[in-house]
Amino acid sequence: MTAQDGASPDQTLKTGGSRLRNRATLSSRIEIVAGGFLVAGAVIVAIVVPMIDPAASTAVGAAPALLSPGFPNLLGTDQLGRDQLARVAAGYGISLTIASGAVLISLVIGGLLGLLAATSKSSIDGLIMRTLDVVMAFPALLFAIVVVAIFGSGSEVLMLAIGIVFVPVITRVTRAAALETARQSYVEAATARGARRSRVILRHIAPNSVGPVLVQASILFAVGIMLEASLSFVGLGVPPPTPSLGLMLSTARNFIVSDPWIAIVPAIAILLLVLGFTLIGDGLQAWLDPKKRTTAR
Amino acid sequence: MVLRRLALTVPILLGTSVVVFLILRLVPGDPAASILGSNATEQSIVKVRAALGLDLPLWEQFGAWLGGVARGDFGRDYITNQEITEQLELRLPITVALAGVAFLLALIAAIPLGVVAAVREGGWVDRSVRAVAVLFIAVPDFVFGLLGILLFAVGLSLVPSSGYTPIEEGYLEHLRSLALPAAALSLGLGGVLTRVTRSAMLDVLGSDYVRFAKASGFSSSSIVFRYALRNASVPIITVIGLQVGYILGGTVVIEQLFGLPGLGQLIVEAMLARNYPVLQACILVFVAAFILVNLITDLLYTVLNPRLRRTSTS
Amino acid sequence: MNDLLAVQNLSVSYAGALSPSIADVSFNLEAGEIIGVVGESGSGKTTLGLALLGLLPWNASFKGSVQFDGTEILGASERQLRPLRGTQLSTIVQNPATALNPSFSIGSQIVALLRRHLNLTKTEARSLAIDWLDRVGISEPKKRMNSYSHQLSGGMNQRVVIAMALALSPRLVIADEPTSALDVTVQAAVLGLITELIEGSGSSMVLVTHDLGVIAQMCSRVIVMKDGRVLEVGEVDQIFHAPRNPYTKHLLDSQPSHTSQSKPISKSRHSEADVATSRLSEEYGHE
Repeated sequence: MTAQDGASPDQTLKTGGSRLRNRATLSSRIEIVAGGFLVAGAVIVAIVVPMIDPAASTAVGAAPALLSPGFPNLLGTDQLGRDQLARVAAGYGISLTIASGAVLISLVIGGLLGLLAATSKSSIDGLIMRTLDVVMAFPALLFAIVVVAIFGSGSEVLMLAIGIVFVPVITRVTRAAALETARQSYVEAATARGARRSRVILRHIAPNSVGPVLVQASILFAVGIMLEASLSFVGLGVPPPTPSLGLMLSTARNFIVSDPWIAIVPAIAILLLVLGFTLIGDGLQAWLDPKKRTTAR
Repeated sequence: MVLRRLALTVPILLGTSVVVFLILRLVPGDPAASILGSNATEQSIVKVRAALGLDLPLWEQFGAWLGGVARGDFGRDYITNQEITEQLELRLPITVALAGVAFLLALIAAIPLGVVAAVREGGWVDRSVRAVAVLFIAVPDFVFGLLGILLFAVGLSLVPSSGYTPIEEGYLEHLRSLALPAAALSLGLGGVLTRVTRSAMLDVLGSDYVRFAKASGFSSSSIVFRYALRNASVPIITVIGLQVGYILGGTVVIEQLFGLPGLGQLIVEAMLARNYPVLQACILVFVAAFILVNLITDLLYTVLNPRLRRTSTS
Repeated sequence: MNDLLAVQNLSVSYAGALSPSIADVSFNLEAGEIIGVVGESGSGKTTLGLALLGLLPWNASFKGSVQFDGTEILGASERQLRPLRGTQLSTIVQNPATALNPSFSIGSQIVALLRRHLNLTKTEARSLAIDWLDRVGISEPKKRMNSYSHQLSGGMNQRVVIAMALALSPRLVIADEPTSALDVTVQAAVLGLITELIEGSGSSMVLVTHDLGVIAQMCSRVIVMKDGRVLEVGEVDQIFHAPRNPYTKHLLDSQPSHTSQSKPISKSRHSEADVATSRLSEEYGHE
């Protein structure tokens, strides 16, 4: 071992030494934990609150309208007297369900396509990528609108719509990671030994491609929630009276002057959830791909 | 190189227009029937279908539609029978103004902040910039918009809470009506741009050629602004190209929130009214704009990164 | 003291490293001298080069002193160092391709350097740059002004770096492994160029390398380093033929036999044919 715990001077100069490196891992862990807290909190709220009173989110007139947060309505009530906490919980449920479905769809389809593209001959690879180019030429929200236009609104359609929007990204990431892994010598060795392509993929390529895909998936959760909220906000999402956070914000628009809380509550609710996923994604990225940098001063 | 990029764009344009065209054809229900209403007779439905050209083979319909679009004719609205092109002409400037201002705001704020954060890496400036950037990225535009309305329109009465004032009625009023919407729209892009600028600059500032420039006696400020920024601009521009898509999509929501009569709002209205020809036309315009922006960024790429140029000068 | 460079008890450590990168290094350099620093990788010689230029990264802590012509380099602020850099103190790097900005033509980089330090118009700087490209042996210099580093071979890039390092007639050049990254066929020619230019201008040089053959060719004195410490300092003649330190002996023995026994020659004596061949392979070996 050389004098500097394995790093040659040149390397250490570029990487700036351990002070920054340690800090990077620490802050990325904080991010993941903080994000995890937020997401876990939302999940708990989404599951537990409806168990207390299943009908509260749609119970019109259960309490006076437009109450500010207090007792017994912890987050206040909306313009029809429905408990905001119950509605937020229901909204979380919807956002999480749709986002999960979308991410799952995109992981399955995108993952398969990515692995396929990376391990097939270039004409198939080219075909897949060109087709995805067409999908990527649509701004995300607009593509989702197109799908909703064709298939109507509803949770499953939204999942599909947003899922398809995500497929190109996942395909690209999977493909890139797979190509990188495929170039490693142990994969070549396996192929040279005559292993079948599917086996090579399953045992060697796929497991090593997981990292970047995970990072991407967390980010996509955040984006998915935003897309669902946006669609509901303009009235193209899950049909009322099912409370979606976007829908709550849209109706809040009209009452904002008389009761700011009706807007603040869903706004903060969605903010926390998306922030949670974003932090997780950021933290994972910093952790899995530590970019150690310094400037020579 | 330029020709190659242009050539690749054509199939994408074609592919997307096919998809857009299919909206109308895949939608459940017969357009003719929905126009005529529930009292339509079998005969009149057939007549209307013929008039709309719906009895022709699919690819002929596509060709006719595409030909019309190329001439600037987007067809007619099913419901009001107005020319769609007119509606587009009315609304496009508003959306362009909104997106343009949002874009500029993001650019002007994000790039300097990203550079400063990179140069002062690890310091409190860097950490606060990063925290704010994450916040802006993680919050949907319209949430900011709503909170912004609460604060600036309702609370402080600085700007109107909705509605659009065209330029003809006064520069200041026009800007005031766009200020909050554009600001809300710009935040997401701003956050992403700040982060990308910072990370690109960090990469560049740690490079050998920057160190060599220092050793050759160039000052830090000239290195950062003249020298390094040029190298960092490549990833920055790439990200801009991608994020413009989000801005374009965001106009749909922001226009709805602020009551701006632009293309975005038209899409929503058309969807809710099942006015599919209008929807088709709007989406095509948006997609074409997105493709165009990406083409421009691709071309800018080759200008800024000499390695991508095909021609060799040796 | 007449010394151009005086290094006293220099120690440098990186944060978190187990032991210092350089420990207690001292040596002097007179004007016009070429001194070599030889050692294996990990011996601290690269860090030494950076310390002499005042380019240690922020996470390095240091002790001791590095005086260039009376001015303390170690710990000096950028404001104090900038007037020296380029004009009095310059560097030739190990990896020339990465030392040149890939987004700017090499011509514009040389011109920028010249205009930064000399009061020249753009045209004047351009023609001076072309002159220098010619002097360092780049053919068709006018055309090459518009080339980018990725279009040139390693040898040509290094010639450009040499031009930039020497164009302002610095008094001290720190060269860190200037030929290690180059093709063997090209190394000799580039070394010859460096020697010719340095001796012609009377500049001093600190030549850091692991290659004893290079030291033998160019240096009058040599410092042998291992694990951050100086083992031996002395005249090249004496070190090569009568090394006192066993490690030095070991270094000499592990080199290919003909270099350890060759007499140190201060001027490169290669035949015209050799130089021409290596020049050709430089220019056509790339693109």
